[in-house]
Amino acid sequence: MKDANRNELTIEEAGRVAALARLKLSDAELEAARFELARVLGHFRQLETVDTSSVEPVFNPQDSVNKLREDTAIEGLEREQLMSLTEYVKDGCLTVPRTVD
Amino acid sequence: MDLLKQTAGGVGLLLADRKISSVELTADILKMTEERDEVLGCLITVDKANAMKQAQAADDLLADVGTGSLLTGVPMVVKDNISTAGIRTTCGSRMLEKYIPPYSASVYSRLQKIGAVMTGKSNLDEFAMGSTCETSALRLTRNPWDHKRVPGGSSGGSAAAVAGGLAWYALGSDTGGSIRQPAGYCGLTGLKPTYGAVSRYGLIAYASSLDQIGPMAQDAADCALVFSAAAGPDKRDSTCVQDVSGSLRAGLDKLNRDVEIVLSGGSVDKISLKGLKIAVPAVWREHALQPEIADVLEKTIKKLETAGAICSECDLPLLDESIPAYYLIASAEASGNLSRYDGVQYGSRTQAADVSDLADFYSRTRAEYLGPEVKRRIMLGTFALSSGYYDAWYLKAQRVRRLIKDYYQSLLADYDYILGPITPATAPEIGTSLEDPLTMYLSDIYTVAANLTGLPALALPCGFDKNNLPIGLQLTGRAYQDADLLRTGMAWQRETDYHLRVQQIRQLGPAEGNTNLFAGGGNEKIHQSLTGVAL
Repeated sequence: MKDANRNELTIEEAGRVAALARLKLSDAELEAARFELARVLGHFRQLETVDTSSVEPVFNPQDSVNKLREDTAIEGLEREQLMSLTEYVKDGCLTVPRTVD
Repeated sequence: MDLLKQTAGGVGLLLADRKISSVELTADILKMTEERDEVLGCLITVDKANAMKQAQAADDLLADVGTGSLLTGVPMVVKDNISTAGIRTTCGSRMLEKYIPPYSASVYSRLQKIGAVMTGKSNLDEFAMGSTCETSALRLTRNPWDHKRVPGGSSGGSAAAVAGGLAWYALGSDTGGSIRQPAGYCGLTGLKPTYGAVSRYGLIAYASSLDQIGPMAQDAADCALVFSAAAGPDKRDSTCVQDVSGSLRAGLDKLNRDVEIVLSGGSVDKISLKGLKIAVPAVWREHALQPEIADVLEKTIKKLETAGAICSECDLPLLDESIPAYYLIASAEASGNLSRYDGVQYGSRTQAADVSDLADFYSRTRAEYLGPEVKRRIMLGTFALSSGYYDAWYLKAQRVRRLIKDYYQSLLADYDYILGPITPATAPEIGTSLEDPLTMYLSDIYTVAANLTGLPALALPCGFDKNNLPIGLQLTGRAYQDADLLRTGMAWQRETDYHLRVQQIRQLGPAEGNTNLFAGGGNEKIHQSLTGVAL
């Protein structure tokens, strides 16, 4: 896609995006995603016609940056409440499947 | 139930005068919900015990004279991406199908304090990503005006619940039109408030620089009551802490008093269209707009002028470009916000026995439990933020956003409001939108600018198409002038009666075996009463 004239995504590029997104897609899903993404991006290319050379981006409507509160402790949720959100708890710790022997 | 014809404020008055009790009213509406929701599919979760407990608390509050508000004891529903402690909050996703949040959204807590009664959590497009409510993994919601059609999205369950007579008002969320568009499709009034007016703490995030919570109801006066209760500073949402809400609050308190006067049969001078300067972008006249919508809008302009408003044509550059800007930004933010669903601390997780490493575990969990539209947007957003593409796509979109924001600001220096359609067409039939995502994205063309700019926008009924489906208009106002916007909505509704038609839909409910309330199905009388035309 770096090439402005190329309106498609290779299967490798689509695979890279899926890996970054932590989505395990089958080959067929990846193939479909590649075409869908290319089609949408092909349309979205119309942004290139807008001159934004001296324009600052807007990251939020209030143009606010790093609003900080005072660094004091506030009441939060109890550990037990949070641990009760999953059934995968052992000895007070979260568990995940074994992936190393 | 005759009370279904009433607005939330109307029912609130009866409750405040102790002519009815919230416990009885809530029991009735729960029974109604049972009868109707099998067909309409508005609610993902109905919590009767919670509703009855809240109704009792509301009655107690009302018994103590002067402590209630006009919403105390009035049954409502909350979109299922707004956290409710102890009550399942799914986002319409299999990922959160069993998730019970340990804390409540600030907006829900605020409503609880004034004695709100929530009967259930309403359906939505999965993680609020969709324009029809059809991407929900958990329910199919039907439009109460015509069961073949979608209620709109993403707050489709909220809209269908109010239009279908299951609630007097609803909370929705609006990231790119998700309150206004379903309100339009269902003949309701809906407000996307100014960014920062309502706390999003506890709203399950989709796109944080665009998300806003707002009211959906039968008219602007009800929206004013709900918005007034929902808005206000919250130290838990950094967009909502600064005291921009000072001026917002003063306007709302005044508006609230005026609503009470109007509901009690009095009249208020300030509710008028006279002298309002309204910008009418010529550009939508050249766009593909359903002919009846174009017609209705021209008539709307004439009516506004007759009532004393001054409508002037204006330019609206970058209308087409607002769609790519919106979808790139929203998807980029979504890809970050939804990265938290990894199956470890809460939510669903893969049961695969052969995961190779943690990344594989996350990736399988997400692939198994997120739906196609959510995956599509995560892919788009991840792409737009990825190394080598960030500047050309994501940053480019944010720069175009600046141009759109600046233009709207300059327009609102000269005009009080910007008028436009909500959607290019009325509600589509179920099953016709999802196969072509790009076309679905393009249908958001008139709503996304309010989110990109942060400005408040109000959807109001203004007519009907040839199938008697509702058509809405949209007014965009100045930042933090939400109270004035709602006041103008009330003035419009004093001049017109389009917003009243939904009363009949609410009253009627889903007739058995009837897919279109107006075409065939034995409702000729209703059709005739609404249109003056015999079938």
